[in-house]
Amino acid sequence: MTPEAAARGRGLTAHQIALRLSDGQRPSFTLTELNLSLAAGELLLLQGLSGCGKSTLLQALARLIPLQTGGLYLDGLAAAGIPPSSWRTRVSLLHAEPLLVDGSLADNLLLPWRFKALQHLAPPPPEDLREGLAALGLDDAHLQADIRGFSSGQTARITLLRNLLMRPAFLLLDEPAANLDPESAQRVWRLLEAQRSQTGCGMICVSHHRRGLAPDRVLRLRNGRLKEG
Amino acid sequence: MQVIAIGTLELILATGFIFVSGGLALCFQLGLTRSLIIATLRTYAQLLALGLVLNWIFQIDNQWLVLAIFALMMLIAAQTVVSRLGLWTPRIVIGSLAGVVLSAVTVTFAVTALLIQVEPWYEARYVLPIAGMVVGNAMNGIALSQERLLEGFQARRGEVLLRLSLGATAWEASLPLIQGSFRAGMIPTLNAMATVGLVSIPGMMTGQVLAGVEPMTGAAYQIVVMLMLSCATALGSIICMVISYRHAFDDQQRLVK
Repeated sequence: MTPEAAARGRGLTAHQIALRLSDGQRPSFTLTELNLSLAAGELLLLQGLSGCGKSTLLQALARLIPLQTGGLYLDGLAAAGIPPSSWRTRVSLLHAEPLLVDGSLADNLLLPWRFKALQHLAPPPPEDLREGLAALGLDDAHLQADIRGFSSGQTARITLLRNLLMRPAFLLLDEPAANLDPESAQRVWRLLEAQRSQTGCGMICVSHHRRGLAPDRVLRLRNGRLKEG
Repeated sequence: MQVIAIGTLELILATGFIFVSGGLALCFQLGLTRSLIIATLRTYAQLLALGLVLNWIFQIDNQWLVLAIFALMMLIAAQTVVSRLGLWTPRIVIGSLAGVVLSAVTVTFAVTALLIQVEPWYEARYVLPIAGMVVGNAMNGIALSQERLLEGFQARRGEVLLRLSLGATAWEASLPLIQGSFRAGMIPTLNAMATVGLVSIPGMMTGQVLAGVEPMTGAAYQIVVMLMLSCATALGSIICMVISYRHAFDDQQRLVK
């Protein structure tokens, strides 16, 4: 695939990207000549051994890590032509470690609307927040409740809902169901499926578990390279 | 009122105080005797030299000399901030220098030219002591807030990354850290303002009262000093952080440090 072809394609495209990570804290590894394309509405499951670079690849696609070579394209536009903050509202990353900021549940769900990049979009009304919470089994949660009272499993679901409310074009999910009980995990997969069919959101999901997930494609990351199947 | 001057004999007698603290240090085997001797010698040397230099400056009373000394004070303060942080990167250096210079120049001349209305504007007797206090406090406030900000980028890295992932710009992602650091830089000044006159008579007022000035005049000066120091600390800290926070990011708004 040439850069021109990547640029012509719709969806999220990584063309011949390479990156190396070695900061003394995390294991050093290299991703080489990696090509990836994700169409609107597509669900791609990304698998690989722990520490092989799955999270790093997602962070690179969210433009949080610099590439050594290659390029990223969004609906035919090179990343250089899209401001990083705008890119990250359209290609939204859910981190593996769920994190909430000080404040209420509503403050956290509406956090992205505090930033200029999303101010063109009206914030979701309280009923949408409640509906999303209910879909994730958090019916009892009060929007004004302090976030310090939530468990780690509840926190994980709240952070996922925050990303979904942004209605991104593409969602990069790093272990969205890790540490969730089977029932909550099923709720997460169902909600993701609903978002995919309703909004045409393309998703890359890093997960060690497949139960309840129906991906269109499965990619494995091994020795810095991606393989189908 | 006649000022009671301290002469050479009194200065020599004052060393008696150091014999008391030195004796106690020896008694309790603190290992501080050598440090106390060096500190005493430095106190004598530095303050007598300062007295001689100020005497000379007051006699010359030249605007360029006053400005040169002011500039030197600010350079040393900025250098101290950067050394304390241990980061000689362009943004940190420029941020520290801009924070010290802009706050010190603005506040010093606001006090001397507008409030006290010193004539001529460069009158060393007024400008240099006020500049010294402003520069010193701005330096401490900047160093404290900047230290806190850099620590924040390490300790709260996950929170900054989260905000960036949700579409925040580098500024928006750093804002909670900047607010916390700003607060930390202001706390010593606020504490000093809250307790001034209750726990102790502040240094400047003490000096003025000992020099024969009416206590109310001393109090008025001290009020001006406290308020100008809070302004210098706030201005210096925020200018420095607004310039230097980008040190932690690259041009693609990625957290790199």
